[in-house]
Amino acid sequence: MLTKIAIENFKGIGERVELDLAPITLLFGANSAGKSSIIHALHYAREVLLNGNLNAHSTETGGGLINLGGFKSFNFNGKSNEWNNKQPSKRSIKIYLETEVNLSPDEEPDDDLIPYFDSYERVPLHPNMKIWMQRLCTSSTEKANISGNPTRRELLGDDGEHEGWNWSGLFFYKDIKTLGVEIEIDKIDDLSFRHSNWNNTGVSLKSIKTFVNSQPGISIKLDKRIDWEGFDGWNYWLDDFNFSNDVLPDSFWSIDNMPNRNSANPLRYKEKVDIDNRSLRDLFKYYKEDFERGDKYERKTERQQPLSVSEYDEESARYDHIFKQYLAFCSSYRELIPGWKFFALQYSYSNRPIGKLDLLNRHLINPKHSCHLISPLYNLTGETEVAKHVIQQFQDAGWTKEIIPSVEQLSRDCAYSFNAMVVYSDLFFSLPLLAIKNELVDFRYLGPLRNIPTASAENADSQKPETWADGAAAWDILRNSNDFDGMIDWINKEDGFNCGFHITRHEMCKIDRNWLMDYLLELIDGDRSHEPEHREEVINEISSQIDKKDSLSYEIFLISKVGHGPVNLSPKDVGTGVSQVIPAIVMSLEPSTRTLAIEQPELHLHPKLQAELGDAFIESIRKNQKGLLLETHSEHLILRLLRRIRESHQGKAKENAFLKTNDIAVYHVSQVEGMAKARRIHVDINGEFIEPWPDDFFEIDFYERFS
Amino acid sequence: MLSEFAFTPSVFDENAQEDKDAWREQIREINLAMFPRIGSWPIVISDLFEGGWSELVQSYVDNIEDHRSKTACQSLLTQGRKMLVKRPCCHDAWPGEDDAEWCREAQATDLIEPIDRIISTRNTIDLSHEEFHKIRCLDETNDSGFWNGISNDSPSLKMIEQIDLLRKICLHSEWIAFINPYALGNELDFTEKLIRHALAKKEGFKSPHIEVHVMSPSRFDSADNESSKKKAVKNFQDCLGNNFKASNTIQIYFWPKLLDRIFIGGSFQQDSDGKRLKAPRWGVAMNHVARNDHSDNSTTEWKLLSKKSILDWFYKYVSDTDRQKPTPCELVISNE
Repeated sequence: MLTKIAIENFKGIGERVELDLAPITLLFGANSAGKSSIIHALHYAREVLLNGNLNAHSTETGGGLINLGGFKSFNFNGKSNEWNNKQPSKRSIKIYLETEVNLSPDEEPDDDLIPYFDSYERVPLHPNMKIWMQRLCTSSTEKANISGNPTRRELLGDDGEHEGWNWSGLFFYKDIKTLGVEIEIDKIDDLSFRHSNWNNTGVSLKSIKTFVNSQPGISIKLDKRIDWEGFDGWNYWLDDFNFSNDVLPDSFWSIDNMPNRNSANPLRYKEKVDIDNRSLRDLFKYYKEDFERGDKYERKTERQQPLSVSEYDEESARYDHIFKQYLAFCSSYRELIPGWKFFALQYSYSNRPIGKLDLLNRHLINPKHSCHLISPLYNLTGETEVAKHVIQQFQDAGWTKEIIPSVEQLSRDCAYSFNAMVVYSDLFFSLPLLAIKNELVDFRYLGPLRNIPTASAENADSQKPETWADGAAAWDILRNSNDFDGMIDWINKEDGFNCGFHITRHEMCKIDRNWLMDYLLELIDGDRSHEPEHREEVINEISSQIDKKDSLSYEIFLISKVGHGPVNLSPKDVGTGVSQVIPAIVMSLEPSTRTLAIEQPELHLHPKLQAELGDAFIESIRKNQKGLLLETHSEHLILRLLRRIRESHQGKAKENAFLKTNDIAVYHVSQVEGMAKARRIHVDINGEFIEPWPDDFFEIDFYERFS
Repeated sequence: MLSEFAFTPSVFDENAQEDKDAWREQIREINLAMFPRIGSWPIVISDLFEGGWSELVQSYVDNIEDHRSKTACQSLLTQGRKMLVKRPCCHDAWPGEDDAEWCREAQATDLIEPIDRIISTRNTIDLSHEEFHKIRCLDETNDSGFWNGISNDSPSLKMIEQIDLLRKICLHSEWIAFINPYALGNELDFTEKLIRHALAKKEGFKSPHIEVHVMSPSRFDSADNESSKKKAVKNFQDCLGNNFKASNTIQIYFWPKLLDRIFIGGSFQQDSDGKRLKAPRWGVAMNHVARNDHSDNSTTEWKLLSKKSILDWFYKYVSDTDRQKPTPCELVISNE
């Protein structure tokens, strides 16, 4: 489940609003305070990260209930206190999402973590890179012939089989507890951007940052590419790589067989690879500055000799040749967008006596390949194999081994650092992104206006996210659930949701009316209908007709516990409160979602049942370990939850009603100087609020009586 | 500023009332006066005999037969629970249903730390006017004089008067936070007096955990920032000395930018993981605080904070869940 969300400049939210999400998170506050903006931000983040829909109007999960109206509508255009009228609007939207994981190098993989490793048919480490890393990690090449995808254990834990190289150098040294992603979306007004092949709205994913254990991981940023010859298009850049994230081992920059290894401390080395900045972008700047000094003809060769003009031109021609081949090669990589990783290659060749780094950039960073805003970021792995290919191309182009290091040589000298970085970048980038995407794939929303099912609602497919918003999916879930009894158990049992109705499911089928009438008439005419020996015959005959039709379905009915007797009532025939709340309960009990947002779950419900709804949500998080984000005005709902906390602490709570203080997060959302603010109101073990409730929500009754 | 009321249990005893309609109206009026809808709640309620009072009173309210009176009393209790402050037992014997004994308990605890109003019923007071001379009758709450001096938002710039206004918060808080950019600078005298007062609690009351929030004495990013902070803390320590009843640790937070003068107090509450969380209860916004060199009788404006304002200031400076809170310097004071 999602455990944190932070939002800036989205709808009613201006300055950053941060919420720690608990299994049950409740948003309280006056109308138009900004509660819905928080839920809408989740819809939008899902659109961005799953569908690349940056200028979103409708959203997949919002169904017909939510229309964001496009970037211009949902970009906050108020005036923040800090900016104080000086600069209206023009602030980018930022949405940060975080989820909890438990990636421990010492433990067996948890089944729950599998989605993080096999979603989208990818593993965090590209299979090719596995081989490449093996090559780097072993002194001989014999162990390089390893096939198959790396396991999580291989990736994060020491399998104890590798020799010659400190394989553990690539492991995370601390458990990974949280993974987070921050997306930044803005409208880029630069004409050069619009005129490029990106998109004509200008709305773009401006940056994407990942976080591991709540510390920055890497940051990729959209920016102009300015080479030493001037502006040359837009691209995503590695903007930051946080080497100080404490999940990285100390020996990050080191390899075991480096000659200058510090014998006193095997994990330390006398010299680390000389990159004193934390950004490959800065590295590029370094080169840029180097060129801008105008010394391209004066760069020193390995032999400390300047290149002549003719030598320079000769090498340029070689590069052109190599990269034409390279481009042909990588065109087979559908998603491959050559990018920042090739700076690694540049760095590897930084001692080369040539100055055609711009050529690398020009060919490798092709704006046409970067048109899709998201997919380039998917594939930040795998280029290493390409790099090997490129090295081969260098060699094929006539570069001698003395000048072009072999793959192994490259690894020993300096490529290791970058390949390690590539691997870590992959983990730092893909792991959080996949984790958040997984959360968003299973994000669902139930809106405040629910349709009561009619015949036309029968076709609602709960697999489609858009069918959840108006509650239609809930009826589909009930009709088709393989665990119908388990699903409705809590609703139907006496000490569960005692709403006065049982839910039941009837098997329905289509049967040819003419056939049935004829058959029945035949039975009546033959006056055999009452004969017991014919009962089985009749049943078999009718069943055979049903089987032929292949049209079995289920229909949901409610049976009143009082009054009407055992009459099957359709949902539209019972009170509105009951038909409105059933989707909320069913969806919360349904196991597939990870985060479920519900607006006004208490809609039309009697106060007693509003309190009972609290138990439904506790049941939900106990059974399914999902996160519920509830926008509500129900005092009764929160009072039930507080009571359960108190009872749990006193040892009086039933097992399925056990609730800890940290199982709920209560937020009060209000407008402060034209912007939505969310304040968390903590709860203590006595079921009391720790911070004072900032308005008179719980005192309305008091003041109405005594004022 | 913050005032303290003590009610003897008979105030909530339906059978102790001669005129039940008048009683209900008095309770209603008290409700409105103590818990105004807008602004701060100026009164705390003494939970006498280490909390025994509230348990007994609840049983009285449960037994009220007139539903209108029951609603009024229950509302007073429900709202009052948010403003309850425990008073230690002064007598060994549980007063039980003897209201005169509750009067004696209230008067005894008042001698240790003053209670602003002790309220009982006419029948109880009539038992001994001489002995219960400080106790006010419930029907007096309708008199305007009863409320005189309950709220004072404009203290003079005299140190003693200002410290006294913070007396109740200091007394009933398990933690206090003094937020003042110059608390360790040219308003150090006030800080020292305030801390001495907070730590000089009477028997039965525990010393609070203390936080002082100040503006960093030098630019946050300057090279001498750490040394200047250490110097300020050392100066503060020298000023306080070690002549205290018990050891205590004062946490000092240096903020790069701080313009507010706020005093917040509260209690500690526990979550399911056993973690102690600060619960803010009361707060005062202060325009100016007294300095030793203030000699005139000019006044300044202090304001008891509303719930919303308490929450805002608490989250801005004090809450431990706030990620922006700087790492504190700790100052240990001892009784040596």
